[in-house]
Amino acid sequence: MSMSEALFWLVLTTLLFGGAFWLYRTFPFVWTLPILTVTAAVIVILSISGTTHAAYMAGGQYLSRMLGPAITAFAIPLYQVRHHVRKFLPEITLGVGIGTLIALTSDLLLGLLLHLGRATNLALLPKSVTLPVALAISERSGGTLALTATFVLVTGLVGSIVGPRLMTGLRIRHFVGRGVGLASIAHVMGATKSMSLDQREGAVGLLTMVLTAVLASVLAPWIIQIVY
Amino acid sequence: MRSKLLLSVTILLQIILISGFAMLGDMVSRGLQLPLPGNIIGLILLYLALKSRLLKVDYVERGGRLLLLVMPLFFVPALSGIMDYTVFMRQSGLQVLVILIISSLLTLTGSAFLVDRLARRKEGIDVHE
Repeated sequence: MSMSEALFWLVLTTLLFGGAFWLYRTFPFVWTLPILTVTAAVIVILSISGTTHAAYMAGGQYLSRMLGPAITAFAIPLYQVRHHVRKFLPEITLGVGIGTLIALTSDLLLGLLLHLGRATNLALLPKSVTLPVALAISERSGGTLALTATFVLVTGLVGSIVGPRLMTGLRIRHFVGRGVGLASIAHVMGATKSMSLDQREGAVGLLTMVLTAVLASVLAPWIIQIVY
Repeated sequence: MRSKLLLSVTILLQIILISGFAMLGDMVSRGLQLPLPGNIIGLILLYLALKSRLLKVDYVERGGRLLLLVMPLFFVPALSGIMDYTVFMRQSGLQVLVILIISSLLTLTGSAFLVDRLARRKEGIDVHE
């Protein structure tokens, strides 16, 4: 794999993202989300040109590495909105604890029930955890990484589309309840959705996302050991 | 033109600073063999630096905002890996989707319902209205 080819894929993906960003600004729908359009475009281009995904990753890995700093950067909005969440810290922590326990155990048990393979089940386990952390959890336990990325994205999409309506149906109206509910399944996508609806709800969502990542990292190995 | 260049350099330096926290988090995570990934440790360290006023929020805000704005781009390489799993998705995709939806519904209902009741009680709002 030559350096120039790696650079080509890196630049191409970035340019595609620029275009997709403009497209989403102009036509803001779920199916024009840059993450979907750019991923689809990359897959189509790789397939047509007969390039393997492994070859693409020679350039793509540099983008993946930026996920770490991006997650770290969440400290900044979290710091800026901290006054919204301070009062409800115990409630949020308790809610995230219950949510993470339900998510992890129901995934593993339903997976066993429906005879999902071990690597798939472990890839599905961190589906409600923000992607870079989900990948770390999956990698440590032996799940399939590409599957984890897909499951996390699908969960985020389903959650941020269905979640707000479902909570209205369940008569969950308090911003703390709504923020925790949405981000405890749809991670960063849920928190972003909350932020667009109400700044206080978004603040709760951000904290929920961080706490879920922390708790899931600690709890996942234990729960895997108990179930398997 | 000059001020635009200056802004770009500022943002780049801020991103490098944030990346420094992420790398420090990686070192701490590996050094102490913590179950938390380095980027979350980095987040906690950056938060503590802001909270303790060791670091002014102005020094990282613009770079952080750009990183978060373009974050979907960083997901593409991992996500496009699904192209190697088309056979799997045809065989087990539906099964996984069912589990994913049931588990998400249980999670949302459990956590949101509990927190909503607790938060309302704390603010003295009647739970039954």
